[in-house]
Amino acid sequence: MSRAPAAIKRIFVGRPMSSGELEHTLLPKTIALPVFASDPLSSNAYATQEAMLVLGTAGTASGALGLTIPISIAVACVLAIVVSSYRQTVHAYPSGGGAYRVSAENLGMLPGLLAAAALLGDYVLTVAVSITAGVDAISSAVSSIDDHRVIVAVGFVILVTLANLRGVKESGTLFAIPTYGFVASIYLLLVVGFVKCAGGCPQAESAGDQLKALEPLGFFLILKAFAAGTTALTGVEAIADGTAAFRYPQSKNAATTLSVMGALTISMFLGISWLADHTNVVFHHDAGRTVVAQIGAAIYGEGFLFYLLQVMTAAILILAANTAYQDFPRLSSILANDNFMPRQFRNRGDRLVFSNGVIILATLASILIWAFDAQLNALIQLYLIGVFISFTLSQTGLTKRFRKVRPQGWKVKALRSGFGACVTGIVLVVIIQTKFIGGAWIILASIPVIMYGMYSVHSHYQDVARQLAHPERRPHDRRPTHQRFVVYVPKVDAATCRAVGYVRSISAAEVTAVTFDPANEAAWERLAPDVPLIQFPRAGFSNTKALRRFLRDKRRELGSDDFLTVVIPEVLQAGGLSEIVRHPRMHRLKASLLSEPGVQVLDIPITKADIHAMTDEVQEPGRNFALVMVASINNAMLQAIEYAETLRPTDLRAVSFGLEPEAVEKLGDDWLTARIPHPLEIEAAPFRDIGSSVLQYVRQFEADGIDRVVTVIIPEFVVPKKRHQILHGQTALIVKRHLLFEPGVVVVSVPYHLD
Amino acid sequence: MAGVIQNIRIDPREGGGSIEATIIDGTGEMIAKWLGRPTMSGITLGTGLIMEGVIGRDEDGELVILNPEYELVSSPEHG
Repeated sequence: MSRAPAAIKRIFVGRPMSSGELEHTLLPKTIALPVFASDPLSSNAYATQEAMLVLGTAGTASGALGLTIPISIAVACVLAIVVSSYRQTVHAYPSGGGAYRVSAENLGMLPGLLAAAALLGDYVLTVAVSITAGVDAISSAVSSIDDHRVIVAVGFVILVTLANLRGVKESGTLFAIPTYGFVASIYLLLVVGFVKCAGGCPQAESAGDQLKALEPLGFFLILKAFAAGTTALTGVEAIADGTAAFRYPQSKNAATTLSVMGALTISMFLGISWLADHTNVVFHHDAGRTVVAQIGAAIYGEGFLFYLLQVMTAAILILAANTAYQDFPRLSSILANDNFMPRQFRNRGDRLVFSNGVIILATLASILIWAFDAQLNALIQLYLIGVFISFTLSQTGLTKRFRKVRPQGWKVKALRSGFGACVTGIVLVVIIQTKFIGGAWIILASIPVIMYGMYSVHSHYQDVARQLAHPERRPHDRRPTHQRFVVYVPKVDAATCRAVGYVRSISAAEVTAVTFDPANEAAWERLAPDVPLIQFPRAGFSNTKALRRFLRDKRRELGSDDFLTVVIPEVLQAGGLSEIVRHPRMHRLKASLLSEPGVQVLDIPITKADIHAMTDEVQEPGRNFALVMVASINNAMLQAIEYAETLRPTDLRAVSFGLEPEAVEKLGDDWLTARIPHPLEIEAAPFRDIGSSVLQYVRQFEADGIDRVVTVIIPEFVVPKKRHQILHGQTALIVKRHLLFEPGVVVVSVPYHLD
Repeated sequence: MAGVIQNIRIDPREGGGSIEATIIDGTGEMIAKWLGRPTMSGITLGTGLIMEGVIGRDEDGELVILNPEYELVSSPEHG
């Protein structure tokens, strides 16, 4: 396997961490606050602004802007209610999971999927909105970047992505500075502002601007402004979702952090709104500066403190996106574990971080930023729906749980969360009504699509599990008489020699050879006169088809107990995946054969370096160690074991790598109950790198390919629909890739065809 | 005798089923072997094992403890 990409990965991402180090990545409250609460704290930067934007459409003459403070108070009340309700969630669900877990457990699968879809979409939007707002803050201080907003925004996305691929604890310390810096800056602004206002508030640069009345000042407008202001609530969910990341006692620490965050947010939000009102900021779409920036300029002038404020605002916004980087991959992993998302999302990568989730999140957010041209207001229209769907579902689910479980004081608890659910439900309706045309319809249309996607992944995995669970097979001492080999001979070379040797050592019921090149006849006579060589007319690209037809005919003659194996010898040039590029036809042939029912593919690779000057002699290996790769007991695995038995190996055992501890216990118990008459070895893969663990394990047999051979048998699922195939078989590919260049190792794929 | 389980081998053929766990502590490795076990009951990778019993050597020269009294420690601290 080539070294260069791995080395580059190390430089950027850092050294791999073993599973045992997970404990050390749990967070103390002081770091958890910036990591999880930077989103709600940072939304202060634009919440007041959004409300004022709506109020401004009624025109300055109407005095609508004077309603900023009352609306802010209303939003603050909702925030307090939601925080209080989520404190209960955190205690009830110490392992986290947030709205998805609470909804799925208490309300059913569909509400659970709704919550999951809403949350996933929302995390993507958090990244897009926060980073865009951060760029806004920067351009309030440095207006020259205004033309390059999209590029700057995407650049920040990449930066945050890399920081997150390195792992939480380190980035946690990094993020503490801007968060506490922002909080300090805003409080400083408020204090200085209040002091100055004692003698009459300084006026903002836009004070006295006139806005035309585009909308009548009515109840609907006020509701719309209120809905806009509720952006201050976004991200409250994050702490509840990430309770498992806190140091022990987890629930208590999480609840305390929630309260602290709530208090900070409310005070900052009300303060900003008060100052905005008293400095008479008039905010509109094309304003060059954000509301916070205008307040800052009014209070501080254009000095150092002003720039500090902007820098801290931008920093916390860009890091608010980080909240989503914690939770999107975590949620994807939980969903993958419940079989609602492909298995690729389930595991932690090298740095104990869910790498696949991180990358998908970054990609989607970048697309959104680009699509909406980094316009904050446009993106926010999509933002709130998911948040309030999950708030409502989460609190409803919690209420139902209290009524069912009836812990101490359940009536009060249920009342609290029930009230919260009603309030957020009403806000949700308001948001949908007021933002529908503006962009909310996009989200409302996407959510069912995402839900459907998750549902079909789930049904597929259920279907597969059901088919595999039927223990219709029992390995019962298969013999070589059940095995037939067909050796594919593109050329008579060292690899073919090895293939013949291997096949001979097994004494199968029948061995034939197949070739498309008449020039091989003579060489074959010399090499293996005992094996009949069947000549196929060369048919160019449909060689594969001809071969498959031949195999199919042969297969029909055989009983269901028999195996038909195609042996493919390969001479490889050098280490490296360029092999596939160099011989695409071979690769395609192998892939095609795998989908032929009833046929197994045995690969005998040999690297050029491994060829000794004995091409004309055929060596039969005296020792054959058979390893069957297993992850769980199912028909595919049992079939692979039967296959291994036909080889009559020196040693036959099943091997399993990289399972989670609970899965290990289950596998062991199942193995003993099933009474499979072969040993099972379960190995740890502490770095979750199955490929290297397999390689290391195989090496203990010291295979040389001449006298000692290791045969690795890999069971695979083949599903009828091509698009479902991507949900399976990732491990098989990884293992094959690692074993390809190992001397003396033969790899057999034993596909099990599902309906 | 104490260590962390790194590898488990289950052999249903030997005398009613045998379970072997290869454990390591800082100084080296050893195999704990139980004969006639029907279930795993808590034996899994990464678990700590505190055992008492007689240590011998098997045919490969590995240190083996046969049917030891044991206590499981979940999520042991790494040294």
